[in-house]
Amino acid sequence: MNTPETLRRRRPLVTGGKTVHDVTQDVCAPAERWGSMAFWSSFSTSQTALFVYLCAWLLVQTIGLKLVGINNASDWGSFIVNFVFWVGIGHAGTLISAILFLFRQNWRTSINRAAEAMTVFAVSCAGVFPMLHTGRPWLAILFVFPYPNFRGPLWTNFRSPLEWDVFAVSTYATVSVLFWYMGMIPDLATLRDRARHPIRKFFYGLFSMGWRGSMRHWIHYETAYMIFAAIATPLVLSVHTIVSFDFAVSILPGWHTTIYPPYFVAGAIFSGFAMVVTLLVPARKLFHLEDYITLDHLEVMNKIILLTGSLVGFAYITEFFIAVYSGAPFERFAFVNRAFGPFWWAYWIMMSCNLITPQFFWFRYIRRSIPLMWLLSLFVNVGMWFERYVIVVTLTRSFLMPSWGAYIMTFWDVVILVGSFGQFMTLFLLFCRVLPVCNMAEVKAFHPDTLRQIRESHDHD
Amino acid sequence: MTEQGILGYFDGPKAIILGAKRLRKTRQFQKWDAFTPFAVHTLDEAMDLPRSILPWFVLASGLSGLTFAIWFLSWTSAVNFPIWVGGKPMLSWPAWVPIFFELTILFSAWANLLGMLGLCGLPFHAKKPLDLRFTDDKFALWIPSDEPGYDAAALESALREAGASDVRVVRKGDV
Repeated sequence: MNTPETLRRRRPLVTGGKTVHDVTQDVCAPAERWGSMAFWSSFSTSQTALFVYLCAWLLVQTIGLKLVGINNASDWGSFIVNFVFWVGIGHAGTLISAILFLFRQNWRTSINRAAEAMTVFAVSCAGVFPMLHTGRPWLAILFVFPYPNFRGPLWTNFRSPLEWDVFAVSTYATVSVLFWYMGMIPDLATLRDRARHPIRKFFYGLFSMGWRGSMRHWIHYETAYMIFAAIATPLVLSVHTIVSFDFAVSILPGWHTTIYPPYFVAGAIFSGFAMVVTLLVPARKLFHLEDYITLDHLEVMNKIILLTGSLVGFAYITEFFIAVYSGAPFERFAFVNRAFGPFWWAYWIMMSCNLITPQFFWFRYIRRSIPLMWLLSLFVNVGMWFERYVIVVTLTRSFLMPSWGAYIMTFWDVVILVGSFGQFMTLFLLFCRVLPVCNMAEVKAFHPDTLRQIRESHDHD
Repeated sequence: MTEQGILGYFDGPKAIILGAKRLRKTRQFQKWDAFTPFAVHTLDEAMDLPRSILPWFVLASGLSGLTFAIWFLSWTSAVNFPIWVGGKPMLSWPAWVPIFFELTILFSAWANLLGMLGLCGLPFHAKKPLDLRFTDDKFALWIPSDEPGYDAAALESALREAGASDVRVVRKGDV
């Protein structure tokens, strides 16, 4: 618990001598003025990528999945790599909004909104891949959800990790959206009350649900926020656990290991925090939020990257050691093949990006240097994508000779991977333009002046 | 020109917490409220407002989600369309735990958001904001005219004594 005494010693969460009114002004400003040149150029770039992405999918679905690299040696290919990558990205948002809330980490207040938005958009990017991988996306909804039918009725296989994944990811997407939306209601009311144009008044009014800051409502709201944090915490841990079950429950050497759930969860948070840094470093400049998302905030995130990166690196070494030490020849082969087989280059990209990169954050100078942390966060993003690539693709050499083959990503695989960033960035930039990027109500509640006043009101008794 | 109630503006979290405590020393309120730009911690205690009963709704909904999941998976797998695979049990509940868990969470989450809005009476019983600055940086105590023993003149002086920087009687059509 943060007692008032520990808060007194800490550096303020809002710098630049901003008052509570300034918080409203500064956070609402991006949603209330015409975008800058930097915004429009990045937005049009993202939209171009999104357009190319949609065209690529249209082509791949019309001509067929033969355009991409999947084959009998690797049935899942880059689809599951991208799926796990994007789901993992989302986890940092829920960690910031839920787990850090339960741990009373008050510095989360200015970054939780953007991180939750990132979660929602990353999960939406992830959801595209399994659907389109079916080859008949218009029927995919019927493959994955149980519904009464005239084939028996034949239900989905509830004992399959893939079906668990359907429930886990759809629940996660729903809960993330609900949590994100509920946290936004008071801030939408702020935007509504500032709006002059009738269209703005109407839409912010519609989505703010008639919120007017009543204390009786705040009591229910705070309770609901706490409950959301409490249910999202086990949820976020369960989601990547279940994603890892896609691999771990199959009886395949290299996949069938008990280390997968914790190692996937740590990896997800690691990659997600890297993505938060990647996004927020430019966003705080673009939308002039340097006094709210301060260097101290970024430094704390880099510390979490260091911690989770070390956990992931430790897991890599542990699983390699156990594979060699176990004496099981196929298990040993799977790992030696990863490091020295045909995909050695992917393995060593993964090792160097995920094991070595975060270790630079032991140095305070690097933790607080914006260009360096941004560069390192990019390396982490690349490394975590390659982690999933290594796990999936190295099985093209396994104990089953018929499953040997070559997996090569085609041009369309690459276009789709790059294009999914177009979807993600378009959604994120739209969010920054129309919705409050920081949680104003929470930033105000943990404003240095507010904390001082509440402390003094206690001393007064 | 019926009176709706009286608003007492305070200059910040400290003033409103102390103001609420001072007011409660001399009189009792059942229907009063405060308008603040954020949840002012300990103001609910200072005003002696009840805790939320929301957790009970969420618990009930979560448990019904769990019950539904147990019933639905058992019924589809063992009753409606049993598939005999190598003598394995039909009610293979350990393999269903992930789905039990996810449905419990999903039902709880919906109950949480809808329950919160329902308990607040939003959006269907929403009232107009009394001052647009309450969502920015203004703090005020609100005593509605249906409060037992409501007397605007007496309350105005009581609010000012409690530290209100401004007092405003709100009449119908004022907002």
